[in-house]
Amino acid sequence: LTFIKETLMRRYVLSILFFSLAVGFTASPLAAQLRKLDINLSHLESQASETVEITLEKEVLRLATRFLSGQAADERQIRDLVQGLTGIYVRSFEFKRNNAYSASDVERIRAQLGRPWERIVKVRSSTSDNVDIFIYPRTDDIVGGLVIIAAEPRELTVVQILGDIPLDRISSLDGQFGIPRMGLEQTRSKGKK
Amino acid sequence: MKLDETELRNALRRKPAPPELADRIMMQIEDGERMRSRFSPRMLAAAALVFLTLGIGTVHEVRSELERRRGEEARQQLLLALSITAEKASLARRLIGSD
Repeated sequence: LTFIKETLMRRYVLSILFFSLAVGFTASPLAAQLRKLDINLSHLESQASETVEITLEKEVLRLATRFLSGQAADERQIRDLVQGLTGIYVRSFEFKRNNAYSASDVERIRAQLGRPWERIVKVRSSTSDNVDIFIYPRTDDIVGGLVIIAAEPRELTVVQILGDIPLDRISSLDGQFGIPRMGLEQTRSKGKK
Repeated sequence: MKLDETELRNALRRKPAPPELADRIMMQIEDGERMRSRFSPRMLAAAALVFLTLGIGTVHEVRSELERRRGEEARQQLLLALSITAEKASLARRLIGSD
């Protein structure tokens, strides 16, 4: 009898474990899809007069937030904003002359932004300042990721932020710490391009 | 080689010790005792504990300092990343506004 009880208990525990794993996998399928973009533009470094390369993975982000001041209001808000993030990747190049990078450099990155990414801003200006902003709309209030591609005549910048970004928290940073209102809510609702 | 009796007797004859030998032996014995009395087992254990504590303290301090430097660097990078993001978002807004 004890053997039967033990076997049943073992099966019960195993089935709970299996069920939990299955729920875990199905609950975050899009999060799994949302991979880091290939933003390797190292071939531009030799031509750039200034290069910024920032890679902040989850653990480094956690470490950075520990060193944000809990006293200063703006840093406290940034800490709240960063809490749900899993990665921030920035590649920025400044050049001394125009056309130092090719359109294919930019296109290669844009091509990776199919579904579930959604382009919310597309600016093609007469001054050749081109900006694209993509988001991964996870829910009405939460953005699961953000990508900005700013291709200017003498500057190319790619920013990818992965993780949950509550829109109200972005708005709360309005005007603080040099972070202007990004107007994601407005832009999304208007479908501005 | 064969030794005759006279040679054997000469070889085994008692020779007086050098005059300074006794002093040297006594000095060595005294030195050993002095060392033993200066470093008792308790003192040695205490010294070991102090060195261990200092060692652990130093390692902890070095690790904390490295962690602080890494954290400060990460903080600077985070702020720079957010600042660049904000700058480019601002550029987009400006371009949209100018249209």
